[in-house]
Amino acid sequence: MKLLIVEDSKHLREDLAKALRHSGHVVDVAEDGEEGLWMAKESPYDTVVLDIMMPKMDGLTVLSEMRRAGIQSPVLLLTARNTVDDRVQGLRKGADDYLGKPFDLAEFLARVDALCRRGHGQHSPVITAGDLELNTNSKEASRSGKPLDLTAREYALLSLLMLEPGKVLSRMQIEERLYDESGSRMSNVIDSTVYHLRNKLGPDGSEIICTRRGQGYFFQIPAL
Amino acid sequence: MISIRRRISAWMLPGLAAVWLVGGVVVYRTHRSATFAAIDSENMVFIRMIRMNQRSQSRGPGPGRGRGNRERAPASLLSEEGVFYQVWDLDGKLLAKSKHLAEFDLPLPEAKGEAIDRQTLVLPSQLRLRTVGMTFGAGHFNDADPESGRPAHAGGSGGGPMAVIIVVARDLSDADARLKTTLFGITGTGLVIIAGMAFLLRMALRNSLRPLDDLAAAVSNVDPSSLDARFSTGKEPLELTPVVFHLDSLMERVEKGFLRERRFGADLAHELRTPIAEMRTKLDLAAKWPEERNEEFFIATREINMRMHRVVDTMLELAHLENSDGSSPVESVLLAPLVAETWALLRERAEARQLKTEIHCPDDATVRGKFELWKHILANLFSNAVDYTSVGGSIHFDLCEDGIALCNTVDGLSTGDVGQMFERFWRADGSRSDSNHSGLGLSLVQACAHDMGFHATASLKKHEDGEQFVICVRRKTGK
Repeated sequence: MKLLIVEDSKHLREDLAKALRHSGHVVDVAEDGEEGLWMAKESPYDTVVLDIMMPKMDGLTVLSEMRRAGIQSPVLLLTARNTVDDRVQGLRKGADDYLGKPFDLAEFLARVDALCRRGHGQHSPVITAGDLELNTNSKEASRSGKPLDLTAREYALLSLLMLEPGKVLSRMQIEERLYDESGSRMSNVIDSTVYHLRNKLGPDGSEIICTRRGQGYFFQIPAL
Repeated sequence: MISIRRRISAWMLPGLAAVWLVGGVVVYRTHRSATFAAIDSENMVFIRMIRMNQRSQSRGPGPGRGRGNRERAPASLLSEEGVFYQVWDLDGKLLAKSKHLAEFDLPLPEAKGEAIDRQTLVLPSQLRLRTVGMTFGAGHFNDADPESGRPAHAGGSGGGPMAVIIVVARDLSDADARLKTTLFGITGTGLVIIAGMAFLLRMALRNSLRPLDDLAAAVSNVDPSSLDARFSTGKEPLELTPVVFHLDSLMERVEKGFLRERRFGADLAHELRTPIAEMRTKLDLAAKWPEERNEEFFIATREINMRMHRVVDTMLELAHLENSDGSSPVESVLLAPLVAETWALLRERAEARQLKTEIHCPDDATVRGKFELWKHILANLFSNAVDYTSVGGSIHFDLCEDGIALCNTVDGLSTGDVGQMFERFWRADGSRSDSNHSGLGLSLVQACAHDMGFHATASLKKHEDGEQFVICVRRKTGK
């Protein structure tokens, strides 16, 4: 999943990004509200983590502007302002969840995962397609009960395609969702990842991760 | 509880009743006097008729008596019902009397001589009578003036009517009935008018005081979420205008105070919770992913800890200064070495930001106060100046009357910002994420200054290099 963290505290911003990357997400960061809003408008994110008290533009204004611009990415408000009024105000402005500082990192990661799932209409942490299972909590995949040994990138690609089966995603779209702003992108990295993922899925890998020539890749549910 | 409605009603209605009562009494008495005057007048006419009868009887009929015949009163008049008379000679001998009086005698006039006597009396049968009595001298007739009541003088040539005392009485039943009707009329009209006035007063008060009720309702609807409410509508009555004006002013102050408190709460939460969150996240991260336990982790953790330490120390210092009564001894503090020492710690940072610095502090310059507090003041002011002066800008330190002044060029600071600078945890928007400052520096400067009898002020002024921020710490006037 591709996430955006908008947080003015350098330590918090960097540590949350590290934790999310360790959890298999792709993370972009912004250090003030204006930059955060610009990034949210420029690229689709599966979840936006937004601080409220920030320089240049506060988080609630960023949230309002995002919703006004039609950006429907789930938003987790992360703030030291933790009164009921603040929470109600944040949720009414269009936030999907609210977490007061200080917080437990595990809870933060669980909430981000839940928001990402809900953003794709998936309520269970386990995504099942035929005999293929993806556990978004443990970041593990299995086929017919046998675990698949996937790299973080392969897991990310599989989860991206599984969340929207049948929908063709171009290489550009896949790149945007799998790489953060600072990541280096090689021209054939997507094709290479798809190749390795197909092999790990089994002999029918190319029937699960299908190619539509000139358009991109899509996921097809494997037969049981 | 005092009610304006009740107070006005309590004054108006009894007042109106009193006025009506006095008016009614005057009207009644006037009417009564007029009625009695009319009765007296009729009685005088009757007395004249009796006197005419007496004269004609004394002359007897004959030629040349036409005038007497013409002036003789008809007998029917003398026997008119409800009218009584009695005639005496001057010796008190009864000469004539109404049959209706039967055995009752009218009283002889109390007034002596020729004066007209008027009385009201009650017969044993409870009949109320109005009497007029008059004494006539012998030989005169026409000189008795019924209007003025002056009788004719006795004496004169013989052959005239004899001297008599005539008393005429008239039944007052009709007059009393008319007066009673008048009294009832006055009373009834008064009651109706008072009742009407009470109703009108109630309506008028209700309508007139409605804006007050509306204002009370508007005030009672104010809660912490509607502190932007104002009560002036431009249509309120003149009497309420000052009240509404002062209420609006009060609301403005309350709103500002509330916003300040809310901002303070939010800033406090941010300043205290953010480093705790940073520390906790860092520890959770290191615990879950051991590869994060590197040198950078320890350096960052120590930095966060130091920042929290600074905030706590400053808050404790502020609390200490707030509780101080300022009575600890002051001394003469030599400024030059203190300024030099403070600036030496910041020179490198200032040079890195290419700041131009001018420090004018004579070697022998002193200031009254406490060494440690002046150290705090200078350290905070210089530190702020170095960090918030625009890159390549200038810092100017000088002595001023009864204190010190520090000026530095700034960008993006507004007059509104300057007004809030001494609030705790206040920071200009752009510096919110700055971990070197917590927004307590200027609060501490103000507290230190107050403790020594000084006062810190901040202002913005135009400068050739742009906007210049000026902060002065001066001795309080009169201390």
